Amino acid sequence: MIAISNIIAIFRKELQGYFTSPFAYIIVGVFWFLSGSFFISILLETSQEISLLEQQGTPYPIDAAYIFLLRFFSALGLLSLFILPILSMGLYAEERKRGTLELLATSPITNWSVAVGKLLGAIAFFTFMILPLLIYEAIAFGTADPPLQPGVPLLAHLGLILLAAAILSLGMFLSSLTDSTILAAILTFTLVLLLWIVDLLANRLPSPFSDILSHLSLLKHYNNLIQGVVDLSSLVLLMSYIILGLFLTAQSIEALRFARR
Amino acid sequence: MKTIPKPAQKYLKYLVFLGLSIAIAGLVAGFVSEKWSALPISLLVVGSLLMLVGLVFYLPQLQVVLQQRSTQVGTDAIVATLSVIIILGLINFLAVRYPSRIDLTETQLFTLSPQTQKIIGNLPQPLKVLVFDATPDPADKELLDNYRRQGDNFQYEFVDPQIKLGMVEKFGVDSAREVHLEYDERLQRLQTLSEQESLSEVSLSNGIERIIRQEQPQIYFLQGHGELSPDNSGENGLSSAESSLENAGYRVETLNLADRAEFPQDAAAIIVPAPQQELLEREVELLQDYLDEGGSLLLMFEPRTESGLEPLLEEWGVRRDSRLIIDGSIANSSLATVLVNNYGLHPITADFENGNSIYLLSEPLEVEEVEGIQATSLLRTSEQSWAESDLELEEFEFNPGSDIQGPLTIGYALNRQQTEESEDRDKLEELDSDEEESPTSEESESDSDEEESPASEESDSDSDEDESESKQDEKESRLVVFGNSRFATDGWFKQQLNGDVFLNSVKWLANTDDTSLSIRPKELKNRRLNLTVGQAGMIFWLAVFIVPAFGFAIAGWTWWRRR
Repeated sequence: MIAISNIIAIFRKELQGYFTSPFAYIIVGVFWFLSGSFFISILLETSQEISLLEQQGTPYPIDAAYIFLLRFFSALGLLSLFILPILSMGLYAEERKRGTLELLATSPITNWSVAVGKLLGAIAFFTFMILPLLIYEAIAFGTADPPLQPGVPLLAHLGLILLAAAILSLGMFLSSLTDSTILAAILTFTLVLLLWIVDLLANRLPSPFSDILSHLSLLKHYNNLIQGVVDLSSLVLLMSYIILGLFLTAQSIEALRFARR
Repeated sequence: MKTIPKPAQKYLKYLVFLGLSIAIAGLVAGFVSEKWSALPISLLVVGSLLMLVGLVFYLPQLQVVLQQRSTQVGTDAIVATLSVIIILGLINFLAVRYPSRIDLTETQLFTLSPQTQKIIGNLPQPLKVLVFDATPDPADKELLDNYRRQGDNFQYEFVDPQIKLGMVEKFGVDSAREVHLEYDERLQRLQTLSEQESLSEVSLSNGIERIIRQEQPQIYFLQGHGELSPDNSGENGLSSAESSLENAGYRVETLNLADRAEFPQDAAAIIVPAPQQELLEREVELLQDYLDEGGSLLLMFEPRTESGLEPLLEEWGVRRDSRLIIDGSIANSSLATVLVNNYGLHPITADFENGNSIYLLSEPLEVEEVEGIQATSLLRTSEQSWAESDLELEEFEFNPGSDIQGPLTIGYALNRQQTEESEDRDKLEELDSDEEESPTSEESESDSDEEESPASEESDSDSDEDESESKQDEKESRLVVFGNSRFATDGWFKQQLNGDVFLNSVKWLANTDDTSLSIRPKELKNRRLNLTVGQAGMIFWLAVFIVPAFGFAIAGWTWWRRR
């Protein structure tokens, strides 16, 4: 129980940190602008393509909402690759820079609670960032004929948040290693990009390695989820990244605790 | 760690050896049986876990020797990290090994049909799908991955045809992006992928079903009357045609009716390639009976030859014209060569669009309507062509009196339903369900009935016609007549669409084109977003201006407040 209240305390402090930082709002503004532009341009492009196909008299049924959802979330996933490392870069690096990390490391709160609280704060902030998209989606999907079933869009959002959580968690670990926020962001971006495209590399390798590597791919599992497939292995992999990030963060702070003694 | 009393710790370290032996047992069991089922895997997992726990207790003892706190912490961290990574790896391995998926898409886009699941789940031997494509298409890969999840005996491989030349040789690959099946040392070409045609469950499952059933339709080439022969190569040979038939999964043999006491019972189609002498009356009768009992004949004629098949043709309303077709539209070429780019609406010519096929020495065919027989002209010559009656002339020219003006037809496809009232589609459908009683088809029937969702109504009307036509294979007689024989010979077979004209004709005749499993193609739900200009404008303003501006405004405000 104490652990949970500790987590909540850290979570609130972290979230407050985001919401009072002008820098965070600039990131939010940029994200809103980019994602909004993606939204409207993909929406128009898709509807143009479909009306062109209709003119040609295509015999196949077309699900405009589904196609749009897929394209938009693919773009959103890519955009998140760039935005999320910026959200996670300050999680520990900032504390280290300010010298408050020792305080945190030696405090009675366990490293796990701190890490979980910080991660939850970052995830909550990202969720806040994607809220306006729901308004646009509500307007666009409201016009769907026949009406859209909620399953696939819900899963797509869940997939996005899981992806974000995985990236933030790994980013948090990298942030705990350095006192330079820029370095943390660059490292996170590199790692995440590598994990994003790892299945491209995997195609070149012989059988068991290619399967293992392609399983590590963030893109593959994110795609699974936004396409509307709940694949246990995808959920497990994304959760594994989250747990791994949390664990490594706790370990790295633990190491700090002893190193300074 | 600190809470565990010392004596317990002392013994716990032996877990390493216990874990090691269990893990080795799992490994051995797995490698010996070559099947990584639940038992060896769980042994491996449990063993590794025990080993890790043991190591955690074992290592501090080592560190006592070192007597150094920081190294102890460091090693602890490394061990703990490694163990977490291994545990996560194992969990992931299990999740991949025992997949479970829920498909939330409305039309179950990513779920294979029950028929496919059954076939792949019950594969008695390994089956391999080879796609000769260096850059795998993600959608194809997704589909094949989905197949692989259904059973252990299903494998697939993307082969780069530029590198693995041995494979190309072995499978007889002609073009890029071909898909081949390998099962029990049998090889079969399935399809060639293109922009329009991606790998589909319908074709893949049916191909797999065929190769498992080892259904290789038997095709006969009639011989004994100076016909073109599949055993010859060169000008009068059909060896290219034969090998491409074999590649397409047919068995090909020659048939000499004079030598045989019995008419072959296994013929999926009989090809009569341009007889030079007349067939005996008895032979014609045999062919006629064969055709009447639901057989399939492909007749190819050289102009100005007597084949003796005229009574048979007459029964079907086909008349050969003894004039020779001259095509004025081909410049600088032999006038007796006819170029065709106008095809009838028929399964044989469905994909040809306006492609060319070339015919040297052709005669026109005419068809009179006969009740119960449906005739479709397949190959039509151009407007500039005509049928020349006088071949003695130095220079051919069109004489309105004796010649016929084009377009002329040099190929007909005819079919006759043996059932009465064959137009009545409802009746046909009833027949369908009674006719095939194999377990797979039974299931498929009930399945397709269930799936009569309103969304698929549109496609229903199209596919129903095909189904009712193709499922009548027991009772339908099919005849394809060409007033040309050269197009399929070795020099011409690979030219333009000639080979496809021949192959598709045989496919249609042998009735192998149709699908024995009634798997519906996966289709999206038909849905549109009917945004008004106002709504689109609203999203545009919100998404691009108002909301981002709001974000920047708050950024400015917090910055100002902080000062």
